[in-house]
Amino acid sequence: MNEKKLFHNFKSYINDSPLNNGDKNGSIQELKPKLLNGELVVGAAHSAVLLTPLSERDGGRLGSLFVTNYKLSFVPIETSHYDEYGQKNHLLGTFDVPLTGVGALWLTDGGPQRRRRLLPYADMPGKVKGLQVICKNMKVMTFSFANSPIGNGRKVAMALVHHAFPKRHDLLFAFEYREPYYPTLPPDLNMFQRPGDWKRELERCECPHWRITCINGTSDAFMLTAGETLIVPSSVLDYNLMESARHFRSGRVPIWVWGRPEGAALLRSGELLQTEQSATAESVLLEQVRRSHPKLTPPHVIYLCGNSAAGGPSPAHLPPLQTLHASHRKLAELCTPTTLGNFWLQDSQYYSILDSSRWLRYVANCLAFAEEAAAHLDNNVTVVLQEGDGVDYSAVVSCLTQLLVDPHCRTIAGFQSLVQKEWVALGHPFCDRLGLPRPGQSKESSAQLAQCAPVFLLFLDCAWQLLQQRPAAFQYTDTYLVTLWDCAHNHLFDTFLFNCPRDRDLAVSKNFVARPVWDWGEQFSEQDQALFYNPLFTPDRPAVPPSHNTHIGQGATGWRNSRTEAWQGAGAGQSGRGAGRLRACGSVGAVELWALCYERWLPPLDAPHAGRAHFHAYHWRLRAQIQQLSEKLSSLSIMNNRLWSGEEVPEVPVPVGSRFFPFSLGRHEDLARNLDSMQVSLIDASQLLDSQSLLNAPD
Amino acid sequence: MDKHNSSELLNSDFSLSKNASSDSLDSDSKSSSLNSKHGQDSSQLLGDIQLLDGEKVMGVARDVTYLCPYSGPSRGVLKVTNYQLHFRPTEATSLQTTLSVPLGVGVNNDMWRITRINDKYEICDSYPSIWAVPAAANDDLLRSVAAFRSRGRIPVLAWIHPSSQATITRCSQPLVGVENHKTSVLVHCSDGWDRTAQLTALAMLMLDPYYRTLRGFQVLIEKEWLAFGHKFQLRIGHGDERHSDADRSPVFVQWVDCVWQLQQQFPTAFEFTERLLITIVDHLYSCRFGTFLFNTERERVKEEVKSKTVSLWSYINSRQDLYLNPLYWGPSGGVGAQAQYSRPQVVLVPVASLRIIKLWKALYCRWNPTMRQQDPIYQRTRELVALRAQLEAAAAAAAGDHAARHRLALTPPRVASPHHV
Repeated sequence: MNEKKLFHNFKSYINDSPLNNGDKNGSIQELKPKLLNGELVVGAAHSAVLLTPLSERDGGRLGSLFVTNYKLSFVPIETSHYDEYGQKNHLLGTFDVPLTGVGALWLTDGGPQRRRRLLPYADMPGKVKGLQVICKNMKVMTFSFANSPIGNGRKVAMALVHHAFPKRHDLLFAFEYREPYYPTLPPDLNMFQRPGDWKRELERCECPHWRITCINGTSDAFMLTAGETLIVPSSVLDYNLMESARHFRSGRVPIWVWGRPEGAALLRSGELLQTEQSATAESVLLEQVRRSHPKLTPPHVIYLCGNSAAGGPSPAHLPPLQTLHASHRKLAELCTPTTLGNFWLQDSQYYSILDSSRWLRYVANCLAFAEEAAAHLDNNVTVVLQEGDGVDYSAVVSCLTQLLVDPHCRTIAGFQSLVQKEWVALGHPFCDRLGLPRPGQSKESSAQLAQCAPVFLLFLDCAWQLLQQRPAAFQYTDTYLVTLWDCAHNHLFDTFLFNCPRDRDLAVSKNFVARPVWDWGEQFSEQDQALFYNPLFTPDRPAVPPSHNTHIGQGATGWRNSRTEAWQGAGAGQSGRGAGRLRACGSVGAVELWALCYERWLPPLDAPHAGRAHFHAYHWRLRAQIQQLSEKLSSLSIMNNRLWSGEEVPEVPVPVGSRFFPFSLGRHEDLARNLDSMQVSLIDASQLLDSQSLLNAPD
Repeated sequence: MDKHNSSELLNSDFSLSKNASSDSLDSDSKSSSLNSKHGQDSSQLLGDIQLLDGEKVMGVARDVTYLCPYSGPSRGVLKVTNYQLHFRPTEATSLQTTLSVPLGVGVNNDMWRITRINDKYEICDSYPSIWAVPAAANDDLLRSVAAFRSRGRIPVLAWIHPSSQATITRCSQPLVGVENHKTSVLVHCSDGWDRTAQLTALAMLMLDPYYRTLRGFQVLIEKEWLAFGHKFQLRIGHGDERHSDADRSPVFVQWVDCVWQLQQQFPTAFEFTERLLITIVDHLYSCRFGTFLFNTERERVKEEVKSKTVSLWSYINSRQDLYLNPLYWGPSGGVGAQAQYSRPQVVLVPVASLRIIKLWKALYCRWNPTMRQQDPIYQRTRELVALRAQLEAAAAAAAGDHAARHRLALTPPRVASPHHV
């Protein structure tokens, strides 16, 4: 019904010639994008139509398309209250994409069919009838300029090609953004910027046999892509480090990232260079690592990309970055069909296409490596992760291992600290991997394209798999992880904007304002932040007592139960930390496609009442009721002498979301009836946190 | 409305099985500790074999090596009973575990009327004895129509929409019309007991929330699969060893898989969890209960299944809490004042894209530790629900104390909160 109405409205605009309709045209001209401080419009196309994705009809929204120095912004002529549904970003509107989030551009004839890829710096045809924008987060936006004033389409396409693929790093909008920034970062977030931050981490892990060195911050620095602070075995001298560094790729000698009070530690290093003394240098360093273990246990080295000495890479190893990039491209193709016909065509061979991308295999391999590393740590054996330049897969596996062994990392603050430590402080080259120009260099497109690889996404995907396998073990939700991936493409924030801390420090010294993405209030309301918190989470749950096992063995027999016990009580004999140990399942059969992240823009997959959000809504409601009840209880005990009115707890309406809530609203008509209840049902973050602490309180 | 009727049709069934199960319930409680299917007590499972009532050990072999595909070989004692194959390792380690494998592989409407024309299963031996048919069709007409249908399977009523009166009817041959929304649908396949049963039963699940309840689901299977003569004996091959028999086909299991897919897409729409589905599939093959034995209702009556065997449903209903979905907020939920169908999720419209269809690892891959599935979310939910109940009770008690202290008989404190889980 609604759909029909929409359809007719749309048609009537199309049939009106914009030139003859001065009135309407005038109002269209007045549409303006919401601009940030320092943002400028650099191109616009009026009377543009944003086509409804994957629809049988050629429906769409009429409005104006703007390109600014920050974003691509579509402003519809008529706003709908559906636009207010789901996650709202203070910086970006519902139809906005930051320029760094633009992945590929295609020219169309005004419909959904692609005609020609629009490459940066290539010639622009004289007339642009339609434009298709494939975003890096797999959203597809198709615009038609059939009714736009002559030349508008070309103008906007030119502006987009020019600004979405800048040649210099300092042309990014983060350098133009004039809004003052007042940090309100949570106090338990460790940014790993200063030596004191690393000291805190050493103390948290209770690792006395390791020391902090700041030599990397001096002129003797040997690991240029890492920050100034490194943690190394107490017995190793700075001079030895500098000597050994010559034999490791990018000077990446093994450095400490995590440890247990019992002595085992987790280290990351780069691969050895094929020099004459490299093997000797390695064994000297590993010997120092061994001496840092109170029991002098030799470390176990895991070669993430294979080891030429041991016969080269096998299918269980992680692929070269180009291969990972190609795998992701295939996955993206599967998740970005542009016509309904193409959607169903892919559907008919869905699993074979998915398998041929090999993406899930790489995800499973990372999990398997993390499980292997965690198992060694359980046995109090130090693990050294060795890989390429020591900034990619070693970060993935190191983070995953810590998620498995350290309950602190499963909280939001802990997870954010983990990203700061492993990705930001230790210099994952975000610019190169996300396809941004490098600071200080003009963009060498071909050389840099080879460096492009979604390593951070691979990590988030793995983290989601763990969340999927253990839904109550993490404080964050899949909404949080997806949001973080979206933010990696929002270059307003400095977190994912640099290749290494050195580049960031240099920019800051030139008056660049660093805005960490972790200040979530900059982007999202409290309601939206509440969706980051997992209502099932309870920190540090003790191993489930045997009597509860009746609920676990769903349908099954004996050894299922004993397996569950083994799984939950894993390492419980291993003093202290055992209870907090998670097991990861690293077989390809155990991993799944991260639908919320990759398929959220596909309306045919959407349905009301479906999906995780719907079912978390129930848990949020439960939490809210528990909270209200406990408040009532405490007020009763306090106000024993006052008359209690018997006030009823209002029932929070059951929300009816889309499967991909809060990210996309696929089929408006299905949601029309229940939208209001959805909005009422969200509860604020503080309340949720209170109820979490209540649940954790001892009886 | 018709569900009224269908449950009436079934009532005899249920009361009978109740009788039959009153002793079976006892035996259940006696044997529940070893009851591997419920998995209540894992320690027992690692011990020696414990027999069900009437179960006898038929053979024992010692020093047998079991080659587990996942944990490798283990030595132990193999026993065969008249119900199961049982292997217990002699050196118990955490990896080697006991193996136990069962051997067996209402129409409140004047447009429709109830007929007992098939009382003796003479018109159609694979249909139930009671049918709902169009009121205008008298028994003579039905007899003559049956002659023109494959195996006498004439169109009979399967489901009727409570308000629109649109129906699903089923039979063996030609098509009359297919569409949703207030149009009646007639479903058929060659014989009307395989694909027809799958489709009608799935459609009813999507349309009518009653069938998504624990009780309604049992009614649905009794009605669409058992009463209308899906040939379980033929398709499953209970007790025969012709494993390559072309008539064998997991039609019913495929349907249960579809139900599971629906559950995945709509996690709050079903009163029961996947555990119920797994239990049903397990006992489809186990031959421990009479429910899925034989091909037709006629055969089951003739063989006195109701008096000689225990019904799977009485087994399941004796421990309903194991199967209830704490996330359910189906139509009967909510606070009293709410009308039965006030909840929005009346009709389920599933997505049929392959992108949404998942492998049911909890059924097919449960023996493979490398395919470990998700932790059950329900456990955590149950904890939260229990905490809420505890607080509610505490609040009510505190309020009660308070009221008593102040003698406030006129304004009794109420703790209003939904009790629908």
